[in-house]
Amino acid sequence: MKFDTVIMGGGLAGLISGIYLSQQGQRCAIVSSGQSALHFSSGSFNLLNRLPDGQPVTRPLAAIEKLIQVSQAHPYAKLGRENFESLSHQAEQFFRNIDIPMYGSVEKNHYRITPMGIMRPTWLTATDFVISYEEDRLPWKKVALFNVSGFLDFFSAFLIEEFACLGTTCEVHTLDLPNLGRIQKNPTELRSIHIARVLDKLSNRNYLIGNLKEQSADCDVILLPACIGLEQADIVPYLSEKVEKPVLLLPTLPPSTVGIRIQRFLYHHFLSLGGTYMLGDSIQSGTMKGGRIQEVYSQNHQDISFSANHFILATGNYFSQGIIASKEHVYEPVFDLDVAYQTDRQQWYNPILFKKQDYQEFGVITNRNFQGIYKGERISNLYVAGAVLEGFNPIHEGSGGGVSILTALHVANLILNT
Amino acid sequence: MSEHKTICVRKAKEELSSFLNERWKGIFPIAWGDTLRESEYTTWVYQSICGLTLPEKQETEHEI
Amino acid sequence: MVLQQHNISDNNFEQCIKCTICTVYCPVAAVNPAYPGPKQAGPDGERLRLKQASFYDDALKYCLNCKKCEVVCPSNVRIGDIIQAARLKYDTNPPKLRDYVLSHTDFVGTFSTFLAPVVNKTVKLPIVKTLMDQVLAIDHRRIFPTYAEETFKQWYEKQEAEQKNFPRQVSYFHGCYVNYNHPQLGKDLIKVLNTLGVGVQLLRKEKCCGVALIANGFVTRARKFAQVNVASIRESVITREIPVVTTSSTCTFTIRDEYPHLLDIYTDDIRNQIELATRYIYRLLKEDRTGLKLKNRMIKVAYHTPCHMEKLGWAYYSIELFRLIPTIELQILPPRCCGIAGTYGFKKENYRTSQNIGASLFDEIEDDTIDYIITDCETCKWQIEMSTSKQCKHPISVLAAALE
Repeated sequence: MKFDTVIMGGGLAGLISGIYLSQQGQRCAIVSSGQSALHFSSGSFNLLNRLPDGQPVTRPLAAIEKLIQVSQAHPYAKLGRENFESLSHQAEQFFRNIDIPMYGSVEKNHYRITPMGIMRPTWLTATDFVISYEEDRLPWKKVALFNVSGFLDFFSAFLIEEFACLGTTCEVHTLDLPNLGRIQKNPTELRSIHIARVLDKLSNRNYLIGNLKEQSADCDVILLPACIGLEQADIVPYLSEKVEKPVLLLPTLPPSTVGIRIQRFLYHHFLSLGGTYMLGDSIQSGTMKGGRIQEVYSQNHQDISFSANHFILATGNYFSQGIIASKEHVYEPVFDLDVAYQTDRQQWYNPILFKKQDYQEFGVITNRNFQGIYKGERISNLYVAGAVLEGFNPIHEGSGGGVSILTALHVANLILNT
Repeated sequence: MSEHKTICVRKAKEELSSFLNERWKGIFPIAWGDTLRESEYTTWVYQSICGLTLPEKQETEHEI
Repeated sequence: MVLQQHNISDNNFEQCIKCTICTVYCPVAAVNPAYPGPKQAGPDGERLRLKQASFYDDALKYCLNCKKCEVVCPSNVRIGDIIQAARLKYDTNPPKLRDYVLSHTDFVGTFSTFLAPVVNKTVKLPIVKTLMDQVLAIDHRRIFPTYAEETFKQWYEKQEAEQKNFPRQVSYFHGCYVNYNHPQLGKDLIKVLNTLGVGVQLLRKEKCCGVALIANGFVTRARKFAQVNVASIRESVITREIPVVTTSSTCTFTIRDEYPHLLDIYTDDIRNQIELATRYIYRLLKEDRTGLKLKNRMIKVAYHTPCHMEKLGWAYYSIELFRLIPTIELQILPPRCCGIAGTYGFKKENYRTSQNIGASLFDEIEDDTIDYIITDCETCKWQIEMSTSKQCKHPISVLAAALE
């Protein structure tokens, strides 16, 4: 099978690079061994919340020079300040125009509310969700907070308390839709998606509107858990209009309806541009000649190979098995590319869970052009993007989404300019 | 009464963070392979998505 | 001290990290609240069942075995296999007569083709449908495929000699559908392959692949049939060095994957030599593009990916063959389960679930201004033809019709 570019990994990085390349006329194939971490998204993407030394960042664009100085192997350092800025703007533009639009700016982080009611800085947030521009307050004094009875992945008690500290009072109400009783047969499996399938139904629309309107009389805004809008786009603005009061969402524990929507949009967009997406398959090996990948082989296609001019490795981190850690060493399973990691396993962890864990920084080594390296030799047509990269700590720095998106765009650019 | 409730909720979060931290102490000596994968996932859900951290006084308690 | 480095469970349920992605994509969990979802039915439930067999949940019978859970799992857990294996191991309910009738396709097929005109008329009669509904719990709304008067095997006997003359040879695992209901598809395959210089043989002895037997709990018979099939395939691919091609995505998937995973039958030495005809033809055409001369007549079609095809990952080949035909305007439907899942949708207690699962697919098909739907799976074909106004054809049949 012949393509212009074969992309290994179908998560955020893989899809973004696939979309961008396809927009420029390339015939691309994405091979993904399963669904991605987008399914746990909070509804926000982080660009840079903290420098590697722990210093908080409110203005990523202003802080990037400092990061580049202290962290040479960081993906943002390889991009350089100029690219960091232009790619961020490009990404912002792209995400403003998807069917679940997101806003935010690289100039200044805004704040999202976590499922436990905690305020955290972030870069892009879906417009259906609650945000604040200040760390110490919310835009409203009185909110009507709704939860669905029996739904355990949403914590109204935590939200009430945190909101109170921010000077906002919450009135809590419960949604008790009639057919909810039917879907509660397996109570531990009453997740956001099950509720969304009920709430999204046209036949439940009026009941929902009636309920929300009735129980939010003297509140400034209505807040719902993000278990709506799985099948339907713009259901939240629609509700706001009908209820005549702003309706916004708060994230829940995974699975994330907004994450699934984003994934679905990116997937369909990629297909509509002529891309081929092979789900449930994984690239297992490749043949190399003269410092270039000739073709790669997958589990499902066996002897029929994928050949292409360029290849992108966007296989993700430990979760998606883009990086595997055995007892002794950490490796990249497709090509056995050079990986940056500590050989002394004691150095992988900090005994305090919430401190920086060094194992999260391990990843595939690349040169400044994001090209993969095999036993010290660069592979000229293999580019590496996303969470599989070395040199950054997505949880500690709050940089996961940003690295995936920016490196994906950058690598696509590099390919188009070869 | 509402103040009492506030303290209880705050304590619940602290207990959760503390519990996760204690569990991590038992896991990290063997955290490779699928155990490391699951730890990465759990850390991400609670720390990144939920925003949990260890309260400062507990941080010093746990430092050895 | 030796540390256990790798998991040792029969099916790798230990790799599950409980991310719940499988449950998001399960077509049954989306419409039937009685089904706990693949995570709970599969890896989560397995831990409990290993401790105590009474933890087995009867609701596992609602699993379609569509394998969508496996396709989306980021941890490569064989969720569908875990559920099917649990059903085979722990389900103590004796099989019903209905399940026997629905799954013993060789037996029913032989009988029905012998009396084809009578059988075909009879199953359409409202009173017979009501009887089957009340007595056997086969839903009265379900339409049975018609039986051919001459089986594909019987027809083939007359072609056997001629087929031996071709320079290249393949063995054709035809399956029950082609043999008893739709021999035309087999004839189309022979036409296409002959055009490419390939002669078609049958296996020394072929039995039903057994997918319905497994799904309905007839493990012993399934294993017996599987052993016959594997021996015949081995005789073809190893002794005579002739590869095996198939036209049914489900038969292919069953022989390649379900035989080793659920029936404990060794297939490593032959698995890679069994493939769908569309993949085989794709390979041939890569060597020599000039093989097929095609007619000129514009048609607009939409390709539907059967669930087992998505699991195999081979929809690409069926689709690429259509790109070769300049007169075809091809639309690709995003992979969705049609809901019938073989014998599953015939059962009265599952009918509603089947139709609810397929609802969005049917809506999309009806909306389209297409001539017909193309798919590789025969039960998808029955479901789509029953639930929409469009006709459904096999890619090989479309290719055969497009040949000059």
